[in-house]
Amino acid sequence: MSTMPKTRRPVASTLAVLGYVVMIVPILFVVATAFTGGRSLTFPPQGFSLRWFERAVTYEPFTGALVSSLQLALLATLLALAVGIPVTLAIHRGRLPGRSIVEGLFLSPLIVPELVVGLALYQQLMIGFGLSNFPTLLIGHTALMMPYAVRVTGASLALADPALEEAARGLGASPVRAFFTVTLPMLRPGIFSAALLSFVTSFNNVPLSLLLQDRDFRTLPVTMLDYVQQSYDPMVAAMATLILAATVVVAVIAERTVGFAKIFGGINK
Amino acid sequence: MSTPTPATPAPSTGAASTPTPATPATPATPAAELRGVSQVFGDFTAVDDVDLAIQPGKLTTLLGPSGCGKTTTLRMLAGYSAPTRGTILIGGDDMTRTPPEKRGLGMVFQSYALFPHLSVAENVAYGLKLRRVPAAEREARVAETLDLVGLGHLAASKPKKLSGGQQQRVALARAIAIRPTLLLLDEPLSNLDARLRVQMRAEIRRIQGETGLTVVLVTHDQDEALEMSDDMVLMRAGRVMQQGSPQQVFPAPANRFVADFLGYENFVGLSAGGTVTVRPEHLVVEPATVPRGGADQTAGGLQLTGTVTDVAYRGVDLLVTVVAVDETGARVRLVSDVRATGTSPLSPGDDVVVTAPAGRLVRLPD
Repeated sequence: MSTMPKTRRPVASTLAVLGYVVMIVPILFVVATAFTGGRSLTFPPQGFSLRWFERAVTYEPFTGALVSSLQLALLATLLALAVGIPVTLAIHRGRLPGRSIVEGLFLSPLIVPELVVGLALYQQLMIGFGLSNFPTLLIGHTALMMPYAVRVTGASLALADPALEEAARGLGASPVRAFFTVTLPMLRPGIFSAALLSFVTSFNNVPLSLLLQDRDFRTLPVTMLDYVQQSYDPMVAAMATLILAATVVVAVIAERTVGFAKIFGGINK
Repeated sequence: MSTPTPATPAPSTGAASTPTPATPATPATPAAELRGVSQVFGDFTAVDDVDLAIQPGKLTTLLGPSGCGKTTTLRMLAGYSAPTRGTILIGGDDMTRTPPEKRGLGMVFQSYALFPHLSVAENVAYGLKLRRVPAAEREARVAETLDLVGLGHLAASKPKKLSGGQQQRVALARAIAIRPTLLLLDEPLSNLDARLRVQMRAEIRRIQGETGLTVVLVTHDQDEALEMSDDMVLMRAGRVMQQGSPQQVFPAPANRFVADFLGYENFVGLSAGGTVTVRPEHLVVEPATVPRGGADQTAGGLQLTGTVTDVAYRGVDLLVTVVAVDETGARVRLVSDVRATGTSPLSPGDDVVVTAPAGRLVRLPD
């Protein structure tokens, strides 16, 4: 069975393999250089050692920035879901006038360049209202995640039978009860995938974080970028490898618990 | 039906059908009642001033073509949409504005609407949990209800693993488990294949008989309604066209719409005004050359001359189509349905005499 697509579609499978090669091979280079025993970021690595990992996890700017990044990503994800789920419900189940406009508004961060958003937030919130950079970043990242929170949970909701909620009501559930016992469980894969995508989007974000950084609060990608500009040693590669490993762990957990087909299809039939 | 009373045809005078000895001659308090109920969506009137009484312990069908307002009526009864005008009484209480969760009714949706994240048993237990039925009793009732619908062995399965017919039974069990005052079924059989649909008719009647529930069933299938109903309500364009037992309604449709919907054909205008109709199986077509011996048989009956336009062999029967001119001078298309074992002596182009005995004619108002 698994060989069928290959034999039937030689062009498509060749392209797919090529795509994987283009995406994965550079990553392998980074991972390999992280284990070098030498002092510079070169390939092939000179000897084998874990010392750059040791340096990376004890390098205070990195560990501090990692905590900051995780805090920011977690809070922004929660905030985005807290806003996004009710908005999705309103769009799909409510009698909202101009709902396509509302939906468009919440999807717009996908289109507006992040540099423009960052600059606008910098001007308005930090200069205009004198907000410090953490709340500004939080607002910026949350806005950036809105499309995922609204679109991905919306996909689950659009596929769910509206009669399910009516059935729950008919059996004696109040609207709130029906939401928590029927609607929310139906949305769970959608919410999970929205959270995952949001978290990754925030954690990896450079443009917004770059524009809105200051000395007290820096995210990990920005800190790593700064570091690379100053010194060209394998510690950055080691840090990148650690992040990669963590991402793989998250992906495996997601696949084992919910399944990618469900997560990214948003389907729970 | 608690006792399988034979389908004795009630007198077509419109009197109440013969009651079981337990019930008095006067009709019992309705299980549910609609008084002057209308439902208007924008400039579309889905239900137009409907008065309806649902008799307790009976199976009432709301029958009509799509868009006749039957589902809207059911949804108003269930509480999913509030009527624009009018009053809805359930068990004698005004429940016009009561939300569905406070009505205590059981509803089976056309799509079944089973909770996909819950097992069959959990689906059935859902309403009982909300009613805070103690766990031991809850389990007993779930088991008992699943046995009633013949699905005890599938309690632990997820709904998506079940066939359409099984899902339908789960939906039924879930609605029955809460011991509803009314069981509402919205086109429950329309998603099943033909053979299963016929089986489930009897199954639903059996369950209704065993539980003694008052059932309201929406359908667009006249055979289903005739077979299952104690009481049938024919609807068209948001209005009730006729209500009565199948034995009352079928031989005496109140108007052209009802007659048409129940499979009457051969609508013949009378010179005195009005229309008569006769079912295809009661229309006799004979070659015009045959001497008409039994003239007395058609006294007060129908007799027209016409020409055969089509003869269709259908296995068990034969459909003969004739074009004739009625008393008002209008051309009418007549269809005769003959139980046939072989070929017809008639063929297109033949001149024929079409007759129907007086007892088979139904007069319709215009």
